[in-house]
Amino acid sequence: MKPLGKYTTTVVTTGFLVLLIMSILIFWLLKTGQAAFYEELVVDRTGKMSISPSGVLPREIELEPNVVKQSEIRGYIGDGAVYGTLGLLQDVVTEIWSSKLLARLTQQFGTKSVYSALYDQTNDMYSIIYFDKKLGLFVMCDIYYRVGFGENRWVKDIRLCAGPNGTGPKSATNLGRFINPLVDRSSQNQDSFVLFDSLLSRFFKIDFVDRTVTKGPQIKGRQPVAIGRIQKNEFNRIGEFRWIPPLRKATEEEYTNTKIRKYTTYMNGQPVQLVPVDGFDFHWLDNPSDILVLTASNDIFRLDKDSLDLDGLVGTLLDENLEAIGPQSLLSYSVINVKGQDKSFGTIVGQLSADAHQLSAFKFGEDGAFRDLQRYGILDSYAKAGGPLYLVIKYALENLRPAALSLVSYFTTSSFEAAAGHRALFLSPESFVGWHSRNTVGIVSSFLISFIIISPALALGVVIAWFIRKDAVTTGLPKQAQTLWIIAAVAFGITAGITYLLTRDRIMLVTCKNCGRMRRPDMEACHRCGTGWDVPELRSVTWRVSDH
Amino acid sequence: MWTLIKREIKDNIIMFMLAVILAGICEAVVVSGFLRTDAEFAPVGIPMAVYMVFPFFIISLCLLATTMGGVQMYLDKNKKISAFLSTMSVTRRRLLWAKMLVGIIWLIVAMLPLIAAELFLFQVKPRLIPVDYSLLIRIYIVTGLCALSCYLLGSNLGLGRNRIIAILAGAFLCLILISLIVIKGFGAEIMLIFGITSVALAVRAWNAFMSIPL
Repeated sequence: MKPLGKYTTTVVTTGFLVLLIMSILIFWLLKTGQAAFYEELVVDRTGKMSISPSGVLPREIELEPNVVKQSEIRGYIGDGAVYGTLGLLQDVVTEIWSSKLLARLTQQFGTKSVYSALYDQTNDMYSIIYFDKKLGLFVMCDIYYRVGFGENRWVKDIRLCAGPNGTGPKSATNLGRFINPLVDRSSQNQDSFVLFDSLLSRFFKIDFVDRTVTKGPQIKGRQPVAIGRIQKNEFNRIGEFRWIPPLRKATEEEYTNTKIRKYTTYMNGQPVQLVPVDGFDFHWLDNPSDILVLTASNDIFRLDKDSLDLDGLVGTLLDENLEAIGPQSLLSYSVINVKGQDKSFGTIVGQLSADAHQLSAFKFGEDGAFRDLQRYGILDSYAKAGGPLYLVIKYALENLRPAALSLVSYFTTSSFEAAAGHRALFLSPESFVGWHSRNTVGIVSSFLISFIIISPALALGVVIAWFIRKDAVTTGLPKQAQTLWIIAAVAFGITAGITYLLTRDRIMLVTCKNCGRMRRPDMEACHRCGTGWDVPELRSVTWRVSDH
Repeated sequence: MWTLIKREIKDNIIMFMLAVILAGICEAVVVSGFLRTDAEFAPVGIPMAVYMVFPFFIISLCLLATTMGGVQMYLDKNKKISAFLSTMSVTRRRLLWAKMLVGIIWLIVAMLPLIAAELFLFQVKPRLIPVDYSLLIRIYIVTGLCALSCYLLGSNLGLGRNRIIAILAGAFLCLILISLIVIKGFGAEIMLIFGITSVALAVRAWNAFMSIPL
């Protein structure tokens, strides 16, 4: 026999490699199936939610005589639901998105500390505001190419620095330090912006034009996690949410003015240009006038721009049962504060569930009280052509995964960040077991149902265990090792089967002189009958040749 | 040991030349792109060319690393180099260590010029505002670990009996490992997976090499 340590290490390492390769192959097969099925839903945008009138505005605004198209809430499951969750794309898109202010000017990345970047073409000069982590200060500088005086090079000219205690030159020592600022990035290229410092526990407003830093009161008991435009994964095109205001026909003057944003619709086959009714804007194009704050307790507040204090609750991230849900449990969301005619009408929270199956729109009144929930589920879409086939293929592939890992997935699904769950390899939060775990409440019955879901994987494991045992008995594997292989086969199914095939002893067996069955030549005694190599002459053999 | 390493390098000199050529091509692309961007715009971030070279670099490096591992073991087995050397005062353990060290030297030869060129460029052309290099660093770590896994995969396959199967399996499994980067990106999770994979493949290669018949 092989030394136990070496055999064990070979089995464990081979097992891991087989598990990894199997997991990657199954991942790509499932992804291919998902891409084919989602093609119609996301590319043709049939997987969409459309609510019109949106129900946020009073009837008198919606029914104004000049309104051609009533307000609408729109949500799409973007093609990012298939591709945008892949780790490579997430990393690349995040890098591009976080560096976009300078990248569009200089084709350079890694500049996520930049909060404003403008290029003055006439003077070939860049005006940049960035956060200097070493100094703990926001810095406003000009970058230009200096020619002459024996030096031709790019130079940086720092104009102003801003810290918690005020503004001043870089050499000023009394500006203080920002430690971990969370900056409102909702409006780009701004000389004035709001930030929250989690260690200083207060909001600040920095105005580089007025050279002022305004300090808000200490925020106690609430920890902001996002400020400005509250959204997740919209730039990955995973989910897209819009609120379109009531629209009227564009006047002649508006029609010809290219600076006015218009919405094109078709009436009697003719394109018609529409614009928002007076007092409203296209929210996704124009900067929202309110700054929203999402806190760690999943509540969304409005920030008072003057006092820099949380003004009032405008909404909450909720699940289908209207219970608070964390941002990590949603694949995508977007919060839209509906404003127009100089007043707030309420908030819409559009969100896409972790499994990318359900779009929901939660509506909150202007006081932040829950008002209505409307949802669009694409689970029904599985009834469409190809849907049942996709589900069968998905279920079959999932059952090639180890039953033990599927069972672990049942318990760990909720701990996965929604997008990370879509690229999980070994555990599978987006499997049928994961969906079941996420959508059921009871413990015992739910666990039993999950067993039923993984029963094909278990059955496959039992069949593989039977084959392994049969071969192990023939090749003379020790009893203890046989037991371990049987347990491993039931738990890890096809992975254990392939591992066994790759690590089994390739030994030429010989016929036992005593029992006539195949035995190992490297063992003292036959592993079938226990006889040694020397059979006593007087002892008769236990087998006979007979002619039947 | 040093003699063994020199001998290994000499035996795989073509693979070393290929590594130098790959590093040279990528370096030329990065340096020219870097200088072009700097000539046109203010030096404020990481030029796009630095990132654009990676798809080609990762795929080529990993395929070459698999070939390097495979060729090392296949030549050893076919020409019975270890069998001959074992008759002298050298142990199998030392032979394998020498091979693996040469494999790591090969990886360094393939990767270091590119890293050194970028470090040099960022040194002589300093960025005017703070730049976040974390993605670049993560990409290099993941590339190195992926290439190491591929090299050890080649070492395992090179010990097999059938050359055709080894080549086909090598190419297929190498691409499977590279696809892991598409799935997981450049985070800590993939570093852990490639780390464990490298250890698993190294242990397998060790066990196989130690018990190979002379």
